[in-house]
Amino acid sequence: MLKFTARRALLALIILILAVSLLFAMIHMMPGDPASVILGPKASPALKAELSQRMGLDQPLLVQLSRFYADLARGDLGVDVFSDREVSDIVFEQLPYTLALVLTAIGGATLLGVPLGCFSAIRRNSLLDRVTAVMSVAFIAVPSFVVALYLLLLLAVKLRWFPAMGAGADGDVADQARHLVLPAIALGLGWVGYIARLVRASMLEVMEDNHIRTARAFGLPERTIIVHYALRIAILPTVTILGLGIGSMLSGALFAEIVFSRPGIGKLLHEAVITRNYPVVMGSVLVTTAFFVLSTFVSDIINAALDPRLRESGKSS
Amino acid sequence: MGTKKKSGPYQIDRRDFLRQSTLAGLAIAGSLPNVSWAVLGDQLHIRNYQDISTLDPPFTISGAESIVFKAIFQNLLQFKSDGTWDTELDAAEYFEAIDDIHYAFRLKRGQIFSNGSGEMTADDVKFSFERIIDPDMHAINAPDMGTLSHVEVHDRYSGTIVLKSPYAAFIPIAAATYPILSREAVTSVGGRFGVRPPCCSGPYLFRDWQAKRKTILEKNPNWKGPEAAFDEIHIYAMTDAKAAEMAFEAGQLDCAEITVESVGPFEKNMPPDSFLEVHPSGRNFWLGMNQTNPALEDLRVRRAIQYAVDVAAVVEATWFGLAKPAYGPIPRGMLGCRERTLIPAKGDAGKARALLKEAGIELPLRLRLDVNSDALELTAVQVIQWSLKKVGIEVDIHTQDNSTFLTMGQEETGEQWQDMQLFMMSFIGSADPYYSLVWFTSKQLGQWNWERFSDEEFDRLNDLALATSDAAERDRMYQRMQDIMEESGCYRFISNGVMPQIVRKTIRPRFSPDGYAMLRGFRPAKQQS
Amino acid sequence: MSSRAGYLSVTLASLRKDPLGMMGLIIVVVILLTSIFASQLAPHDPLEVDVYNRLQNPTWHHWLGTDQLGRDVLSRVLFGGRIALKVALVAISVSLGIGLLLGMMAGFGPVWLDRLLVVCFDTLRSFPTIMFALAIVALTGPSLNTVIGVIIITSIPVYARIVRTQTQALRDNDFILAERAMGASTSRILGHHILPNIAAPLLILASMDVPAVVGMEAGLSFLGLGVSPPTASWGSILNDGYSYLRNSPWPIIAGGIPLILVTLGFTFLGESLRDILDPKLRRKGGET
Repeated sequence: MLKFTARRALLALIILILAVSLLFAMIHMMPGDPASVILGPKASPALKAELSQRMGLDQPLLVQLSRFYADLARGDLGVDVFSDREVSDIVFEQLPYTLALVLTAIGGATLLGVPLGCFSAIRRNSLLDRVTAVMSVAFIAVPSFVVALYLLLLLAVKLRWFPAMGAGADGDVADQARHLVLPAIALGLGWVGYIARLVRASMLEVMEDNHIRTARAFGLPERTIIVHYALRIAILPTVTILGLGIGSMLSGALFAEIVFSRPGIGKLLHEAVITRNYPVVMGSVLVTTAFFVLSTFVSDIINAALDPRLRESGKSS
Repeated sequence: MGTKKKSGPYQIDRRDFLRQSTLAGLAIAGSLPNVSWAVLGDQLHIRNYQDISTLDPPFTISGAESIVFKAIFQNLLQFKSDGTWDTELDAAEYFEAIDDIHYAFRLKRGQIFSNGSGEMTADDVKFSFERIIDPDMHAINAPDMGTLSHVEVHDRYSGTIVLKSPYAAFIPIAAATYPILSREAVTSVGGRFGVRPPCCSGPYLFRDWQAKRKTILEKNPNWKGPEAAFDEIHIYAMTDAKAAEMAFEAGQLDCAEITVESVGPFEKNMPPDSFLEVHPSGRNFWLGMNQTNPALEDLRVRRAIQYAVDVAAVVEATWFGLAKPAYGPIPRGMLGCRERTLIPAKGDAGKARALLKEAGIELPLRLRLDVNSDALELTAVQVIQWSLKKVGIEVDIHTQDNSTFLTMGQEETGEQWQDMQLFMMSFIGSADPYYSLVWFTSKQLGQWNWERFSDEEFDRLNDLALATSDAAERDRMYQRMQDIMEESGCYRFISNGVMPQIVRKTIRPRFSPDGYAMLRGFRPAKQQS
Repeated sequence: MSSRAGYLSVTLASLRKDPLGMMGLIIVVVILLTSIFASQLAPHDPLEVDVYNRLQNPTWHHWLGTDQLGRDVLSRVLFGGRIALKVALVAISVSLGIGLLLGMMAGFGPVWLDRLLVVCFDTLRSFPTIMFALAIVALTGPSLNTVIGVIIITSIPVYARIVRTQTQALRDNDFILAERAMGASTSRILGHHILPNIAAPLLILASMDVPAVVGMEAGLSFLGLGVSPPTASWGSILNDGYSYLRNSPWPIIAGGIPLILVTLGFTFLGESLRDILDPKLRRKGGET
């Protein structure tokens, strides 16, 4: 297990480094000098020269790359072009809002999806099963921002059941919860179906397994069988998908934040892109990528811990 | 005269920020208090369209800042709260132009600075003005002082402001705008400050500033003028107009500038006890044409484009019928505003086609139009695009973000200005017509004069109008200048826009002629002013 | 030749038995036809500005109302289909082609190449897609071609991985081993044996990818980073509608419907086809 974890960690690190280098390279491959790109259109010749020198942009590329990593290791993501604040401060200020949204969405989706998938597996081809199947397919691929827009239009603007924007008052948990409802639904709706299908499929596979049959033969109540054996194993692919899902959730969260005017990394990134605030762009993308890699890594580990079969080398989802 | 000196390492020109930047901050609905209703007479909760970055006069860059500092500081003169550009005495009890280059003033007695620096004296006036033109200060706003030479102090309360040469805009742009600060207070904090002023003397005092959230002011107990109406004023920095609208509806704001498109919905569903006020704004929107670009060198082509653009339709679409077609950069109500445009607002598609034919242009003519990614301007250019299409001109719209757009026409950014053809421009004027037109002089070539417009008579009139204090003369000259601009074919003036505000009925607000909140004039509705 | 036709008719027959699949097919066909014949079907020019009739509710003249410039929403939606399909066609075919190539190389080639390519794929996939798209657009500026390019770059690893897995599975097939023993060239093996076996499932996967690709373009246009005005894309219609949400809900209602239909249509159809043609693939469905 340890060997597996170590190997996985190394792989994750390599990927992260490559991703970061790719971002770094993108800035330098762009036409025009990096100082202009980094400073954006506010660059005056004097400012550019100052920045070039300060950042060592006149140094060979490899030297620059290592300085970049050194800064990164220290947690220095650069400085916001407009407000002179540390990018790391700005990014980590906004991160909690996005995490709250993503976790709520995943939590909600899991809470709904797992039981739904379970019942669908147990009562195959019942009405519930069929309806779930159709709905899941329907919701899985509809772009989340379309769902968000419709929710906004119907439930917030027309019916006024929920607030249309913001994250809620600081310190007021109930208010913040109300503000989470619509964005989380928009984000998590597709996942309910996905998880349900996945759980159903895995459970069907597992329910025919030998040791389940044995347990049944021994007269164990069906419910015990389901909860103690089948569900355990059926959860595995779900966990994997959740790990990968965080990545796509971050993308979906961006839209939810924009449609509902919620603070968060997505909104931060969007505005930074529009204002060509490159340090913030790079900082946000770095942090979210790191999260994605981390969550994939964690879900791989959990998976491997729960199912020893997966620890063979080269096996990855 | 009139050239914006780029100062300091960041080359931030005031115009870069005087534009309503809707993207410089984040929606902060989460920072609003949980209180549902502002307590009548005690607190005022109002939206500012942007956060302040400094309150130090040499460096302030936006209307957002002037809204704040006009409440906490005094100037020699202030604009009246009656919707005109007329001035009245504020810190001064006497202010007269002795001649073209001398202004005599005498301060009222007993005006105390809040931090213990004592009474306001003529020396403070000298300090406040001279520091802005001090070369070591690198003040962005130095050009606003015009030809200021120095201030002579005669005695404790009186002095004379001396200019090097006549500068007709001195009163509106300098004397009625720039505050008097205490020499002692400012030097004790090192000669300059940021968002926390070391001394205030206005009806309100600065209490606190929370970055990207709000600025809090409180009543000044030592204020000698008409009593400040509120105990506290909370000014929320909300760049997102929609968030501000939501906040108003939730009862958390008493007054907020809203978007043009929300005026209709609010009228249909007015929140309880509220009313709308739609004020003209001091902005200026126009379609510019780079006359040195080969496609636009022929005057007939530019004239055709002027005739092709249906300004009435553009204004209707962009401002929902709330604004009017502009007579030029100088807005209605200001000295120098024209009474008509040379080319009618509706344009004339037939004339446009005839001109293009006469010029021998092969249709369709493809032109590029650069525009800022601002919702208002994007709407306007799409209507323009359609108008031009009808006469055979195909327009490709290139959207740029704010920062890129603002540097496109500048020579120092590179050669790209030569490729510019059509562009949609907007900027915010000030209290004097000179400020609306100075950007089109020959001196501005390579900076803000992207049309590459250059006319001798225009330049000459610009200098003359600035140097004379005869209002009628200036009026005539500024009108003529705008005629010259239109005759050149480089401009199609669109509108001066509007600033709609939604206000609680418990408040009686006051706004400047260009639509900004004048906090001093805000009163609870029951009180008499 | 005849076996192909037989294949097709058998497929269609099976499809007819599956109501969802049939529905998907109908929806897809309708979308394709309305987009191709948009010029004939649209009641108005999608670009025609009519300022004095803006943000109207549906009327006989404008079945889905008008947008903030008085343009007919229905016509814009119909033409928006063209953008969506163009993006889907170009992006998917290019990324499929390149992914196929790279995947086969990884699956069939030497181990070091495989390792290298896998790491590359995983790196590209480690970016949350839209964040990556935003970063690229930040550097190059918005345009439809940039959007297509980004979609291609982020899709290649996905296809490549699947191709790789399939190729690896087939590589040790007896038939293939025999061919290699006889000295058949790599390209012959790949072209004649491996490719036909993975083509069908790959195409099905590609068709199920259409909603994601169209959704991506719509998303980026919604953010103002895709098509430039006044072009109508479903995403830009939604973007405009969002700004004027309180004035009229119709642009949003109208802009979202085609996206939902595209999703339902292609997904139902794709799932059906997959169940018919290769039941084994059901299990692999979770891997993307």
